Amino acid sequence: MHSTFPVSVLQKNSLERGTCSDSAVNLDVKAGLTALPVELITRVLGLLDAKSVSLVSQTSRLLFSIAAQDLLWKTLCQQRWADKMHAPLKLHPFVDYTHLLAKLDRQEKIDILQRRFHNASQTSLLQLAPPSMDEEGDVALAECVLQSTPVGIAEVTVFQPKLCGKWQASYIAAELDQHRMRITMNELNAYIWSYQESWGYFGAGVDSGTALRVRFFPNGIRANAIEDGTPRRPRPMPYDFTATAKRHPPTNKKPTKKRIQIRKASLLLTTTASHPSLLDSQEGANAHLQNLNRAQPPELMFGRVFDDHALDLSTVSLASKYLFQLATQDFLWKQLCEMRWSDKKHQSLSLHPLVDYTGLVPHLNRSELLEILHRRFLATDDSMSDQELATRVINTTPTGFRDVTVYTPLVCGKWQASYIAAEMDQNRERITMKELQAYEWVFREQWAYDDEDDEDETIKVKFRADGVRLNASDAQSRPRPQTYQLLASGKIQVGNFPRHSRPTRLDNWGWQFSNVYVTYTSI
Amino acid sequence: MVRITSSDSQEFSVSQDIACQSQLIKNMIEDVGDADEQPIPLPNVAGAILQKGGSCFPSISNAPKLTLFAVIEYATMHKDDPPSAPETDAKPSTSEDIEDRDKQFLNVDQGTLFEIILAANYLDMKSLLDVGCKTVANMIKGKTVEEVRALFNIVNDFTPEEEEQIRKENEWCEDR
Repeated sequence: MHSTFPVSVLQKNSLERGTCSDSAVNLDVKAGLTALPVELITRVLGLLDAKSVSLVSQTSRLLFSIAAQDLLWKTLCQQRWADKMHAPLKLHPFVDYTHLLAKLDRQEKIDILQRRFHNASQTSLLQLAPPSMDEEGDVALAECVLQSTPVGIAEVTVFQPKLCGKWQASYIAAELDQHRMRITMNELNAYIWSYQESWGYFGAGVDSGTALRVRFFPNGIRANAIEDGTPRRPRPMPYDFTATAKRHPPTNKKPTKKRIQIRKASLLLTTTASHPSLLDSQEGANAHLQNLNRAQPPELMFGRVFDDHALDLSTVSLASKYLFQLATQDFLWKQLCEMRWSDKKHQSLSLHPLVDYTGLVPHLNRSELLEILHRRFLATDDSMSDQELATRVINTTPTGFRDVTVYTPLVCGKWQASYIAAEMDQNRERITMKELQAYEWVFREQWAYDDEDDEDETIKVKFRADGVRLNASDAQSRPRPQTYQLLASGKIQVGNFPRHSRPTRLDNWGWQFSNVYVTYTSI
Repeated sequence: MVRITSSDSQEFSVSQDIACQSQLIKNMIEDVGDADEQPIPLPNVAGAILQKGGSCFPSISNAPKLTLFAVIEYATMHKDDPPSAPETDAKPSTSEDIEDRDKQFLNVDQGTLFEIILAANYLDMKSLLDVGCKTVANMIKGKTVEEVRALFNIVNDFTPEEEEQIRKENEWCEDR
C-alpha cells in the first residue's frame, strides 16, 4: 500500500538542503537563522523595516548578500516613498553610481539624468534611447551619469556606495536628502507650487481644488502655472533665487536668514504633485493644528507642541490670525531669545540694536529704551525724558550702514523682532568701529614659543577710541601699543604689520581676525 | 481522514480539512485521488515523538522535536478560519499583526521555531509560514548588530575593511 504513493513527487518538491530523512530532524539549533534557505531568510527580511535590514546586513557575509538584494530594497523604497512628494519610484539622483554603472539599464540611466535635470536627458540622448540599444549610446549615457553626479553643490549630500546595490543606495540617498535645507534652482523651476495667501480666507482649510498653482519659470518670472495666454492671478512677477549665492560650511550655522525665508516660503508655497490629497507634512501639521487650535488654552498648546523651535513658531504664526496672535506673544519669543543666545558672545538678553523700533516704541519701557541705545553705543543721559529717549531710539536706527541689516518689523513684537534681527546679523561680514572698540580681544601669536603656550598667560588687548591698540590690563606689557585703522574694505591695519583679514563671525557670534602672525578673538 | 507519516515514521491521522491546509498535501490528494488507502509520507518534516502516557497535547515548548505534531496543532487551531484573502493588498503585512493565539503557539525555542518555518514552507502552509517569519522578524527588530549575531549565532566573517565600509554605508540609520 505504502509503495503505491508517488514518492518521487515528494523528492522533487523537497528542499535542496541535505538528505530527505535527516536534515530537518537534525536542524542545528545553533545554526539559527542562517540555517534557513535563502528564500526564507529573504522572506523574513521582507518583513523588516529598512533600518533592521541594514542592521542584519552588517552581521555576516551571507546575510549581507541576502540583505543587499535590489528587489528587497525596491520594495522598501516603494513603501517609504509612497506618500512622499517628488519621490517617484526611480533611482535617486544624489547617488554616486561609479561602482554601480554596470547594474544600470538604459532606462534607469535616463531616469537618473532626468531627475538630475540634465540637459542630455531632454535632447539627443533621449532620442537615441528607444529603438536601438546600440553600445555607443549606452556608453555615452553612462558617461553622462558619472559626469552629472551632483558633488560640490551647496548642501547637497551625495551618497557614495561601494558595496550596496542601486536601490539600497537610492533609499539611503533619499533618507539623507530629506534633511536638506536648501532647494536647488532646478527643483524650484520644475515643481508646480500651490500658492496661498496667508491673509486670505481663514478656516477654509486647504482646498487643493481652488488653490492657485504657480510656477517659477527658468526665465526668472513667477506666474500662474497655466500658460494659455489668459491673464490670471497672481500677476507675473520677476523672482530672485538668492540661495545659490554661497555655500556655508557644513558644520555651523543653525537657522540662517536664508533658511528662515525658505521656511516661510514653504508655508506659502506648498508643492503639489501627483497626490493632491496628500499634503506636505508641514502644511498637514498646520491644517491639523487649525482643527485643534481652539480646543485648548493657548499656553498649553505652545507648551506642548512647540518646545523651543523658533522656526516652527514663525511658521505657525503664518497659519492663521488666531495662531498669529498666539505665536507672536513677547514672552514666548523672549524665552526663545534666551535659549538661542545663552551661549553667544556679545548678546545679552536685551532687545537687539539692529531693529527699526518705529512701530514698537509704545511697547518699550524706559529701561528697554536705555538698553537699546546702550547697545547702539550711544551715550544716554538720565535726565532725558521717556519721550526724548523714544525719539532717540527711532532716530538712531542704524539704517544705511554698509553690510549692516536692520530688521523692520511690520506686525511682530519686540522680542520676535530682536530674535530675527540677531539671526540676520549673525551672517554680517563687517565689524563696526564701535564694536571693535567696545570688545576686549584675546591676542594670540601664531608663532608663540612653545614653552610660553600657557592658557593662563592669555594676553588681552583693546582697540582704544583714540586709535591705539594696547594691552587691556597693563599698558606697559606686551604687545607694545600701536596705532590701528579700520579700513574701508573692512580689514584692520595695526601699525605697519601685515594687514589683517576682515573679521569673520564665529559660531558663537564672536568675531575673529588675523594675519600671518597674530589672531584676535573677541571676548 | 488522512494518514500522514513523519520522517521518523510516526503516523498521524487527521481529518481532511485540517490536512488540506497544507497546499502540498492538498495537491497530492487531488493528484492521487483517494487518499484513504495509504499514509502520505512527509520525509522532510521531522519528528513526532509523542510522549507516551502524557497529555494528548503536551506543551510544545517542552518538546523540541514535535514539529509535525505542532504543525497539526496549528492547523487544527485554524481549521475554521475563513479562506485567506487573495494577495491583492498593495501594502504587505507588517510583522506587528500576529494573533495572540499564534504568538502563544510560537513561543518556543529557536530550533523548534525554525523547524516549524521549514515545515510550513515545505508543506506550503502560507499562514503558518507568515506568522513564523513575522516572529523571527520581531526577534530582530530593535536589536544591535552584535545582539543579532549573538541571537542567531552568526559568525562575523567580514574582513575589518569590509566591516568598516559596510558600517560607513549604513551610518544613515544611526542615532535617529
